[in-house]
Amino acid sequence: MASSILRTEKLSKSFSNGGRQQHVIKNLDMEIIDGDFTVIMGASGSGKSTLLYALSGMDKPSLGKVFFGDTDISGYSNDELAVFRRGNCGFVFQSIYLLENQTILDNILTGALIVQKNSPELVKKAKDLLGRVGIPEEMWNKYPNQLSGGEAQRVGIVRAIVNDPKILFADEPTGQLNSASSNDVLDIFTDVHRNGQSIVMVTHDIKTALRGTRVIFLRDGGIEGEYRMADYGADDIKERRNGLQAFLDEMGW
Amino acid sequence: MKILRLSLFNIKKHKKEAVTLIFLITISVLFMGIAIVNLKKADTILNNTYKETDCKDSIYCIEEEDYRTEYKEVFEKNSDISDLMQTEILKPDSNASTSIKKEDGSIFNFYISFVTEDNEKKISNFKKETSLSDDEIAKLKHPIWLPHYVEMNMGYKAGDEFTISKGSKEYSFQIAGFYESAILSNSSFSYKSVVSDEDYDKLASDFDKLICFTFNVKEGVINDINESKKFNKEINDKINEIAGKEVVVTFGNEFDNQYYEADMSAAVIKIVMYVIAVISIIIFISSVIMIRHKITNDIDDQMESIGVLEALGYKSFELSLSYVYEYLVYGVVGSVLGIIIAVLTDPLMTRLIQMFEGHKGSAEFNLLSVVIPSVLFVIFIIMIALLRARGIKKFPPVIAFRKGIRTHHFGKNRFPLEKAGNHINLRMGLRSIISNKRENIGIFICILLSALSISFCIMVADIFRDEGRGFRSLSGYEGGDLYLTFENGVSAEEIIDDLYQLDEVRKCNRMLISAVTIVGDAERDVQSIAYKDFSETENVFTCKGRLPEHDNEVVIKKTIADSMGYDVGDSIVIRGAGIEKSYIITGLTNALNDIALFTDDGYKRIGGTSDTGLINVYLKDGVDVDEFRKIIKDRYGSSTKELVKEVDESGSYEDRIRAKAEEQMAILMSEYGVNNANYSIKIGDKVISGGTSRIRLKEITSLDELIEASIGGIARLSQIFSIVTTLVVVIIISIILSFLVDSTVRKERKQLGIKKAMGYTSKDLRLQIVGRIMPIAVPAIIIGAIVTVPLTDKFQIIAFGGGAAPRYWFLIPASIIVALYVFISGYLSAGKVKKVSVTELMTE
Repeated sequence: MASSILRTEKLSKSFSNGGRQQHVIKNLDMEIIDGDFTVIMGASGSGKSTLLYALSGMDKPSLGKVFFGDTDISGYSNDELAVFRRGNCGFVFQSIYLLENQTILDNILTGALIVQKNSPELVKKAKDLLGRVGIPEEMWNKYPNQLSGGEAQRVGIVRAIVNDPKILFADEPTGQLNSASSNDVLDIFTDVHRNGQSIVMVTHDIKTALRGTRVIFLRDGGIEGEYRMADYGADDIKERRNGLQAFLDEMGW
Repeated sequence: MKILRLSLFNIKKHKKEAVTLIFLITISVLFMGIAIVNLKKADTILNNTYKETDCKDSIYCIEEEDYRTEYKEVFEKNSDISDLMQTEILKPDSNASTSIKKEDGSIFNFYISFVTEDNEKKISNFKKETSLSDDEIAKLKHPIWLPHYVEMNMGYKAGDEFTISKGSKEYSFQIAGFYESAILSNSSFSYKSVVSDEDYDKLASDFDKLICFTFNVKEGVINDINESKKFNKEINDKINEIAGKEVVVTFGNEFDNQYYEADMSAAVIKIVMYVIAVISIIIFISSVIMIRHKITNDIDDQMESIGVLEALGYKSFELSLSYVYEYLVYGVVGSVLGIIIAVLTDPLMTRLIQMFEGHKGSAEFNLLSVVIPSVLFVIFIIMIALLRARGIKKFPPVIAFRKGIRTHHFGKNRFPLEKAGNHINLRMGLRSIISNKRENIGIFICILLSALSISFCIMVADIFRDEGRGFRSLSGYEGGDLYLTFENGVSAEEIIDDLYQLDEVRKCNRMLISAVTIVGDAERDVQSIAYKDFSETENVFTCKGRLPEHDNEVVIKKTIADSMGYDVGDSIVIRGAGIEKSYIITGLTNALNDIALFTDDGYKRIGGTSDTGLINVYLKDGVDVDEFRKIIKDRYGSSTKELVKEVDESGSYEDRIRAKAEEQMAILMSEYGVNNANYSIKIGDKVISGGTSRIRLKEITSLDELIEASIGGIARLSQIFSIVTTLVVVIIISIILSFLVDSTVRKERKQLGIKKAMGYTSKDLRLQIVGRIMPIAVPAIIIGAIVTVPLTDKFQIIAFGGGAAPRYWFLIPASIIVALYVFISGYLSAGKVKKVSVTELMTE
């Protein structure tokens, strides 16, 4: 039986808005299974990104607990969470967020060197990954503003996975990309997942969600329902789409 | 108007930075104002004292026993002299010192002279200041009017008891009040005090009476110390001619006062003010660098808004003006506050300078002296702001919308992480240094100037350490552990031989101290110090040339040589005891006092005797000085100075009789110059006998004690100033670092957020920020320390005409501490990265 990599107990997150408390996540119990490609969907304001931040240790829950394996990380300080993230999590952002004053290679190494000692192996690994995601060598010493959106996001993915994180979080990774670039990026996610990487991705795009193996639908800060799929490519894509669409229709998408 | 609103918006948005800049501008305006205003005061207080007390500008005193009525004609016939008056003063004789006995029984050396009210009025207007009523003053048994120096520096007030001791005698007075007297009221000539006619008559039996002529010299006749000496010599020659011998005179005038008294205190005040001015400039430069930094960051920050406003039709110049207005506000507010504080603190500053100079002369506050530099500061700020803000024109709307693509990096990657070691935080810090060259040059200058100020202040504090003992090498005296002075008739050679028998003694040498005159158009009286063999001295140095080796060689003070036009190798004529001889100058000294150094034989050529003198004793390492004093007393008897003070109430009846008898012997020796006396007292069947032969030791003291008595006050004030200045600069460093780090965190908020998301902790990011500062700060601190050495030497030459030996090695630990402080301060300031939230970044 697959073990859970992440688990929440009565997770709540609220924000103060003009003196009023706005409860975005309410008493949420959920589990992320190791090796799954979990997609979190929901309408705008349903709490998708908030849940992602709470699960990934980017933010602290207001109430409840988040367990990474058997470790409760909900009481961690900001610095403890940072150390937790560097050792266990990778992140891919919608806005990519490469460091503008660093070269492509250095952007990747900046993420890697905080975890690993600098070594020829590490540099080789970073270069191999760049090659795998289609960033040619002549671009490695260029700066982020010299890349297209798709190229930059591929670099962002390499930066996220270079440390072999136990879990990879992605927040609308194709949100700012055109269709062709989106497919390239999603192919990389699929490829990474096939290699055993656990992924949690937030999206509102069905095409993106099709890459997952489990879809969780949120509504008003709680789980409305979930849908499980086979690995991407293991079934007919049309049937896969129909199945997911049916689930989302059921959820009132 | 809309542009002004933009400025106000910027001020409101960055309140903390605005307050910091206003604070720094306020401090720099205040410091510059204080420096300029008080530089002038240092020169004018003594002059104003002369004017405000209607003080005659010259006084010429002759001992009563040498006085002849014909002398008066010398003054009357001199066409340069006006307002001639004859008066008289009582002074302790040259062999006796006077002291104040404080309420706690402690003794403080205080050289005092006395004058009656009528006689004082022949010197100055004798304007009294007192808190006592006429009735209260009338009830005082022995009223005394003291110079303001006593009130300002010694804490006495009207009505206090004031006890003076001279030898074994004590004279008790009650302070009626204070008055100001410009002439003959300083530590060199004595502090002139006014007593009642009755007390004056009583004191006349114990003090020497001087017959004095006070007068004014026509304007333009005496313009400097050399002309003063020349004028004095002309009168002196005429009096000697009438007397047919050399008459000992005391001459004082405004120029002497300026030279001997005000020179050092005014020089120290001026140096202090120059240091304050330099600190003001450092703070101002720091402010300007921060302004440049802030404008650059603000433009980066507001790039999109700039693009929108340009798209709406605002010209880049109009947008630049919004920044200029912002800094105009900072400059004007800071300047006005600085001026107000300068005005409010002026009375306090005046009081401090009056205390330092020892005179209560008025000092004008010239508002323009503060306003003009403030206006220049504001103009400079506006210019810098405008030049920096004009950078906006590089960003037409399209580029601005793209958040200034020109700000992006396309340069060479100087520190690729591929080649980094394992110090990722340091490596990342170093990268930022390269990418922010201009900004870093500014930080380098700020830290260099601050480090220089701190190092310099530490050296000044060290020069004045231990109540001024850093000046040991400036004294021209040997600086052993003890000075022993023996009574006349005691052979110094024999004592030295005897001292060498003691295990505790490492070395002894003898100093012969007297007064001689360097002959020339403008003669200069100097203290002559003779040593048998300079190769045995440890604390006597030249700044040029060498120490004397032969009897026709002399070393003189450099400033005197400069003023008289002499240099090493020149011949000079020196007069002592009426004999004039020629000497070759073999070297120049930076000594604090006006001195001439001879060999014993050289000194004898002008009538010097080598019978007695001052024996300098060096003790071996680990010998306790106080214990050794006891050994000396056991060996040579208590000093006469101590015997006249000691009244031993303990011991047997016989001991007390002997003590009393020896006290009387000491009084005979110290007060009446008796060389030899014996006593025999019969008590029952027993006879106690003794005499002056048992009392050979006159005084035990040390160079350190002498230094403390002469410059202890200045040393303490200078140390306080140095410490306060160091603290101010330290605070300024913190403010600068806090400002720069704040600004950096604001500018790089997004990048810091990304790094946090990657797993960098706040500590990592703080180290990266400090890692940018330290490689700039460390060389700046080292250079600051190196430059401090010649700067300190130059400072000493200007301030004291000589060079003490500060412990320059102190600069090494001091620099390490400053570097650590910069590190800690930068690290703490970088604590703002804690507030950078990852989620804030992701919800952008």
